[in-house]
Amino acid sequence: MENFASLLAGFQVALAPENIGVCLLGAILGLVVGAMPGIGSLAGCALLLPLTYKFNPTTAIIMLGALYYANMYGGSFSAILLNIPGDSPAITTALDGYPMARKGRPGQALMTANLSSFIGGTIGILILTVTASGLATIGLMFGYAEMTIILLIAMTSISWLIGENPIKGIVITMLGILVASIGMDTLSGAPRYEFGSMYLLGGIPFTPFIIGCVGFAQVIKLINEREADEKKRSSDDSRQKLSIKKSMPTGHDLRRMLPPTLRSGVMGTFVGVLPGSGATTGSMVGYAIQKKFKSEEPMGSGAIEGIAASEAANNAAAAGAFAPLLALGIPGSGTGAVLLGGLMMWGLNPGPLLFDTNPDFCWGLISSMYVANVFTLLVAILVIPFLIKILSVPVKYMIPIITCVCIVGAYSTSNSMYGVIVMFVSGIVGYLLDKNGFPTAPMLLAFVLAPMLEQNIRKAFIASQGGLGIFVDSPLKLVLLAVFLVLVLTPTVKAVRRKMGAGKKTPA
Amino acid sequence: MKKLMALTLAALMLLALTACGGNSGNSGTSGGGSDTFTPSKTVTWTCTSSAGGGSDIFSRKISEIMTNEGLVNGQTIVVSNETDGAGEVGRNKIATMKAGDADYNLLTFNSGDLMPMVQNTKNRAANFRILAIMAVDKQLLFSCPGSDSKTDYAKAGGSQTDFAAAIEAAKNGTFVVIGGSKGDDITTYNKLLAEVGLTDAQMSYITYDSTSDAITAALGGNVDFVISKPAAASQYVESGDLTPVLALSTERYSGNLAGAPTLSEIGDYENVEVPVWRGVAAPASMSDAAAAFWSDALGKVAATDAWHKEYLETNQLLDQYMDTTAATTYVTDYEADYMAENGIS
Amino acid sequence: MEKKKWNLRAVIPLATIVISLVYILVGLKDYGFWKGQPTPGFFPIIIAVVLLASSIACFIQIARDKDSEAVRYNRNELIVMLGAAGIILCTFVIGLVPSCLIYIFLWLKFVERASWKVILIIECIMAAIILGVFTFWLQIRFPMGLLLDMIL
Repeated sequence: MENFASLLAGFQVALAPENIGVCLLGAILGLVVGAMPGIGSLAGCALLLPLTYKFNPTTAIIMLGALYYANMYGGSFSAILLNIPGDSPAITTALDGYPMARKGRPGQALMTANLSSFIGGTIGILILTVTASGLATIGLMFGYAEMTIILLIAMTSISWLIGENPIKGIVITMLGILVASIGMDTLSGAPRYEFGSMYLLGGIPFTPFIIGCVGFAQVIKLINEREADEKKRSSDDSRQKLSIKKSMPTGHDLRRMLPPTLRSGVMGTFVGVLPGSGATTGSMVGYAIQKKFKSEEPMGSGAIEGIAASEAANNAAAAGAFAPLLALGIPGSGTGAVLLGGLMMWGLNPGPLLFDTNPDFCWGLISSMYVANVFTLLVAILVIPFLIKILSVPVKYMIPIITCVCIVGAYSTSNSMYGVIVMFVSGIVGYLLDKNGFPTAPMLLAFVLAPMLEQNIRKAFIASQGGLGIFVDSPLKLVLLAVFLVLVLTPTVKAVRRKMGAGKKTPA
Repeated sequence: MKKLMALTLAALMLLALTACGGNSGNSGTSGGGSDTFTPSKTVTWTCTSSAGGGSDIFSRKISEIMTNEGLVNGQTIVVSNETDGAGEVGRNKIATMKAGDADYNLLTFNSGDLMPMVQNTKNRAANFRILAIMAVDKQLLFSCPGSDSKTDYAKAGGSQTDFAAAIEAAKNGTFVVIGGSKGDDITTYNKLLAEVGLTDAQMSYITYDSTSDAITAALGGNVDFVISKPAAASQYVESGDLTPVLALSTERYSGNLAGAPTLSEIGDYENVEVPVWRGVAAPASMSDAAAAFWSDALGKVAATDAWHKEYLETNQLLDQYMDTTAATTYVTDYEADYMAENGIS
Repeated sequence: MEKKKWNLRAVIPLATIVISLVYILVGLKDYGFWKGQPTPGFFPIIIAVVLLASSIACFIQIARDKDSEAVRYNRNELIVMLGAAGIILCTFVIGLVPSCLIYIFLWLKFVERASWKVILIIECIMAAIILGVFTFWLQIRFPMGLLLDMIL
């Protein structure tokens, strides 16, 4: 109960007028930055950090917290409307969000994303409130071997995206992993597969890579829809106006959305707590697990369940990531690291003593997350009708606009034309792959997860001096391994059964 | 109508142009022929690490103090984070910059930047003008005795507060793991290993992306010892989670780190010390007048209260300002040592 | 004729076969596979071997399958790519922001033949986003190109 008393005190801090003001400002800025492809929460927080030096630390972190939080919402906007994930956690949102928007239900897709973000986030914050510092120590139980298995579980989400041609899916996944292995090898500190190029020393930058593969490739395809779009426009001039009312999900939608949201919310929180995993792994695990449950429409074709599962998980993970940050001073993600840098600039020493030495700060932050969550939801709902207007812009005008947004966004990630060139090349590659029936989503997910997987596997082998025993020597590892095997084997067993069943039928 | 539209459009383009160049002020004619230099347009400060990290805070803090103290003639300093090619692209851009622009470009240049640069590219410190060294840091070895033991050494019941015992155990075949960050920490580990006469198969090193990741691993019992600078570990020492085990320095630290002996105290070894420095560099083509101006301005920053209170004290760094002449000698020697040790020619 | 069709479609598996071979050879030569513990080459080599196997399987699959239609490329698609390439090239001369705005103007005027009103609205919105959000607020300094560098 002590936690709740502290939380109430925290609310007094968070509800001070100036804190509400910055919270609202953070929510709005976060939505804008999140919706801009290429900026993302990491750069957004980093760029706003200097502006907050003039505030007192509590006000400053409330603003940054709201910004970080709202970013997760904003990232889903461009993913759903334009099929350009603003940030890596939104990749899985785009998988179902964009098809759903294309089916003429963009309002519901956005609303689902926002509501499940809200619920997922709230679950995350509630868990954070109740367990506070205890949660972070759970994260420490996870060594390299456990993280390896968790990442393998996240990797299985890739297999669900592969589509009807498994061979092509494997080719593309492996290609993604190889692209990710270019650059510095962090464990040895030596360059790898850089082929003598100075630019490749740092690897292929991720954000320009997704902007190109998904966004720019999309524009190239859009041009073919230009005429069809024109015809459609001239035929039904009385295109229905999209209002808040029209974009509200129906009761049936809400019922479909709720179970995956709750599941993903709880799971996402725990993934967020694990050191170094962050919101991207959260949304992928959420999406992968959702595949195990029933959805009304197949996942990937615009299923509400898919959007809900990935959005709830990534917001919950974003909340969960605060646990190790506050309780141990360990950043769970790149954005966490920026916030940590901020804490130090304000003269606070993040670490195990923060809850004891600065309780008003810690609880002020946690309670401000409740406030930020509500504000962001309200702001997001208000802007949805305006956002949907983007879809009523004729396709032919969207082509040059999106091209420019892709270029500007790619430039902004590292202040260099190299990012733009990476975006351009990966756009063309993504387009060619897509034309030939290779799905690009597995490549992107593999690109994100593979480096983490490799590091953990290799660290495990260093610690075990090459032995495999490290992967099975504790009950926790065995449980995780069992989950992984169930995920991998069920489809295989099902496929074998189906084949055997078919085999029995054909000879008869 | 058409004309009007075209005109507005043209005006818009013009706006775009001016907005682009808006930051650059009037012209960059000063500093060329005259003996003194005063900045007359925006200064770009390149930081080859991402926003929010140690190098970024260092760059932003200095530029903030310079602006607040009026050291840059009222011009703005824009910090630009250029992380392409693990920072090599940004460094190379500065190294090859033409005279003129060169007077308005500064670069954060640390020991952690120099090592990979020398190792992986053809750029050397001589391709830059070293303006100043602003601060120096040293390291310690910590352990987390209360952690849930997952390593061979901890399982074998090895003492986590006595590094001499760990050296013995490693010699007798128990595997010991040290964790730490990239760059400086690896160099220190290699020196330590060579000094105590072990191989990396006996006492291994796991590289983490950052010191905080490495400390996390130590708290979780994934490594036996962790190399860290005092600032990153101090909170954990205070809370009792980490114990300082060995000072990687020629003398003991003070305060709550005083308990850690130096290497020569625990056995018949020489002390191991690898200074970690933070400095500022500029293009080699920067004019002498500009170099003198910046070196002097950095010296003024190093003497301010704000620098001592808000930077050095918060990060527990040693105040060690060196002007351009001293810093150049220092960095050149450091580079020569590093290259000799790693067999780079 | 029949042959030519699948040749074109087999370009991607052929490319990935080449990529995987490069990774395996460079990996074995420069980075090693196992030295008491996994080396930098360990993980990429395993992945490259899987890529090689699956690419060969994919190649065979495509070679066998002669029924499905060849992939058709559209000339318009090339224009989009050339447009973006044009912006990139122009950036080095006149800077990124003007290149983008000029590109939007040229595209709307000559490819889409849009009205002046539409062009102006789109230009204004884009200028507001690029300059307002990216340049002023987020303080991103876009490259100015050779021409502006000389003038300013």
